[in-house]
Amino acid sequence: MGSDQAQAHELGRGAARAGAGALLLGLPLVMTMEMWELGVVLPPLRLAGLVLLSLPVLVVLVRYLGFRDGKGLGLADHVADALVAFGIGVATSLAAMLVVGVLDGGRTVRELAGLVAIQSVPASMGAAIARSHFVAGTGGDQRQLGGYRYELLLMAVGCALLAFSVAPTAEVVLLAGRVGALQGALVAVASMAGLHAIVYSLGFRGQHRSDAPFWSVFLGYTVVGYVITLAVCLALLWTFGQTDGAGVRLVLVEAVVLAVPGSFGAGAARLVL
Amino acid sequence: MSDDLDGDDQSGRDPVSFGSSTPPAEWAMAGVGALLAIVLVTVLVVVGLTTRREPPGFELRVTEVSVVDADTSLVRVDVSNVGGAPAEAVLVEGHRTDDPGPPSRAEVDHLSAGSMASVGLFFTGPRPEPDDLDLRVVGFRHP
Repeated sequence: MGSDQAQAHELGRGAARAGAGALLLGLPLVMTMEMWELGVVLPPLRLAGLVLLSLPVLVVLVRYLGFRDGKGLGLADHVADALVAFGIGVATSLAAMLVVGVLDGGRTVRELAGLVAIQSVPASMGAAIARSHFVAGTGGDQRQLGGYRYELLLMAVGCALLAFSVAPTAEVVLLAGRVGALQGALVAVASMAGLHAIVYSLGFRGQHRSDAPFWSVFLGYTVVGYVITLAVCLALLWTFGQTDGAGVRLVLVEAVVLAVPGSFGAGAARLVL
Repeated sequence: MSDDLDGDDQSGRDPVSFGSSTPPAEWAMAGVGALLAIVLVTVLVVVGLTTRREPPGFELRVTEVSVVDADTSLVRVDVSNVGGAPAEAVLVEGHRTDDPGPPSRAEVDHLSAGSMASVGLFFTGPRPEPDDLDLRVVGFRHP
């Protein structure tokens, strides 16, 4: 096989892999009713901001978790990978929405753009991290990159992966309305305990190994990881309009509620990415 | 998009390595992705800046009247949102001008600004003409 043929072959495989990653993350959201409504209801400028913000996030994702071996690649290469991931995210989102009937001839241009924008962001994230999902044995070299910062990035990505499909649902707001201050604090403590247990205590394959004292690990990873989880959850809630018109207390409780699945995603990130 | 564990090593071929350069074909794909991002953001920004900040407004038009049985007719009505904001739970009501009885009602789940949906209203009695009907939107919910 010549070099050009090999490159074309690998490019095709990579694109297929990225498409599978996009579907893995995007398909559940394509089939979520709230996402159909949010795509046409959310202010267009907020959706434009979401798309613009997703592009540098994609560059970071492909840098550490992307569908190419990160060794020897520069920023331009990562930008290229991120743009490919975005394009594949848009294409798979469009195809999935057409197949399940979310898109039809009656949609206006504004609705079409809104739906593509809100659905393509998680799909392109899935495409960007497809290598970690679908290529057996990769990541060993990449996980040495960045050390502590890389661990925190993994947590943020794992949180986003799990919380993305819950954040747009009405249930988050309904549950937050039922949770009082004390119950909210207990939920937060339980989430942190779960996060710590999954990554550092349970005997899962791929779990973190550290000789550092318990409190060092707890403060440096679990507490910081939970703060990152809350930040990601707040960003998702704002993106999906779940904080619009809500008071500070309700917004915080919404974040704590969403951080229940989010913290498990953050904890499990090292196991599944 | 190379990967270093594609099995080529086992088949005797040299492992593929692209070094630090991105293949031209991938740059072409990246260009398509960039174009999609530019078009998407441009459309959203233009729509966001030009959309009128007006409440929803509705227009109703009878498109079809069909007889279901001897005493029932089905009237199909197109509901258009000609305002500048979306509306949910748009309640359409209609009654015969010659019949003081209870009106027929139908609800549209969601109606974006500039979009249209169709509803069906049943009426009893002889087949009505469009001019015999009083149709209106009686309420909606802000999304």
